[in-house]
Formats: sequence, structure tokens, C-alpha cells
Amino acid sequence: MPTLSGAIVVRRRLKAGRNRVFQAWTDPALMTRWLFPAARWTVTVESDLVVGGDYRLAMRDPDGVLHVQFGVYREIVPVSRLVFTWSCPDLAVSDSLVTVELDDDGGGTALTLTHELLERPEVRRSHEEGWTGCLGSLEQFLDTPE
Amino acid sequence: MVDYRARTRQLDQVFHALAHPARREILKRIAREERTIGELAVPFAMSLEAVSKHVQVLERARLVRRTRRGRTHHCRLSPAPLRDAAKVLVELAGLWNRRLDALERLLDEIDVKE
Repeated sequence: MPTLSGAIVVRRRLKAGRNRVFQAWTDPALMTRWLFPAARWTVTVESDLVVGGDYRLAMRDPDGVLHVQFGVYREIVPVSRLVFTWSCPDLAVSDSLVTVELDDDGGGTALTLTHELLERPEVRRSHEEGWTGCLGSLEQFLDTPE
Repeated sequence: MVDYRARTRQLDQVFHALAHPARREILKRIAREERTIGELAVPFAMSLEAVSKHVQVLERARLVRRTRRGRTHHCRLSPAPLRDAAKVLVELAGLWNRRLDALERLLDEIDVKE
């Protein structure tokens, strides 16, 4: 859910175990098979999977136009946690922070992805305070006439 | 590229502005009607200067338009940057949801093969 402090959280339950899910997030051969926006796109993945290492996704759309997303790995905790920065010129997003957390869920995996647009201490604090203003309150602002 | 950097800085300023509870409160209070800095200061245990600083942060993010009439400053909400910021968040949520759909399909596929 988008929050006014600039973060979204996406949750999924996956049937596969954490090992397999972590592998899909980190093995370039598997990453190329799902990290693309739509059918008929192609993606190349470069990834130096160490803390401080770079990754780069170069995606070509059906018209041959190149779209890139890139960043640096910040935390790598095998089969439970992956944190990386994320920049995407198409969306005018630079140095945002993505955290992927994997937990056991029966035989499967509960995946929580948090994408924070602002990597600032005060944003973190406001999350910790449990501030949960969401798009609903944003819409209140937006309903007011300009 | 210049446009990209300008948009990035703009987004950054909007989220920075929204990160403080006092500034969110100010936005709520000017969403319905224009208010002066003095009026905005009343519910806060804050000096006029402190409120004025928060308003400046909101102005830099283009979330507030300030007009001066005589010695009084009037503040109005300018909601367009909120719309832009919300749009980016919605696009990101869409992007990750589509990717996680693809991840789910891939994991099923691998499962069947083994």
C-alpha cells in the first residue's frame, strides 16, 4: 500500500520454499526469466552478488527501446533477506531502497517486499512510529479543488 | 537527462516534505481553505519561525503556494506534486506485482520439471 512517506509494501505467499525463492532473486539465469515487465521483452542481468556489488537489468521492449534499472546490494542474508538500492530513469526514481524478506509459511514462503523511495533516517523513524497514512488520506488531499 | 534529474529531485523533495508529521498536518489544514502562518501556528506548540520553516520546505516541494497581502502570508495547497508522487508509487506497486506474478509462474514451472 502506498504511504505518504514514500513507501510501498507488497506481500505474496509462494508455494515454493525459501531456498528456491531466494535462488530466483539472486541467480542471473533465473532472474532473466521473471524480472521483465511484459511478454516479448528481453532482459539481460549483470549481477555482482556481494554487499556493495552492482547489479544492472537492461530490458528491451518489443520496439527495441532500452530500459534500465540498476543498483547496489546492501544486505545479503541467504534465503531470508535481500536489500538493494534501485534506480530507474524511466520512473525518475534514483537510489530508492528495496527490501525483500522471506519467511517460512507452511511448506511455502511468505514474501514481503518493501520499496522505500527515500532513504532517509526521518522516513525510517516515521515508519517505526507506526504511521500508516495511506493512499486513502492522499486522496483526501487530491479531492480538494486546485 | 536533465528532465530526469529535475523530476527525481522534485519527487525527493515531495517525500522529504511529507516525512514530517507537522508538515502533513499543515497540508491537511490548508487543503480545505487558505490559512495564514499565524493561523497555522495556533494548534502547534511551535514558534511562528518554526512553522514558517516547515512552510518553506513545503514550498520547495511545490506543495504550498504562499501569497503576501500586506504583512500577512497566506498559504494554499497545491496538490499536483502529490498526484505525481502517488502516481510513481502506484506504478511501482504495479511493477512489483507483475514481476511477482511472473516469479510465481516461474517457480511453478521449475516445480513441474523436477
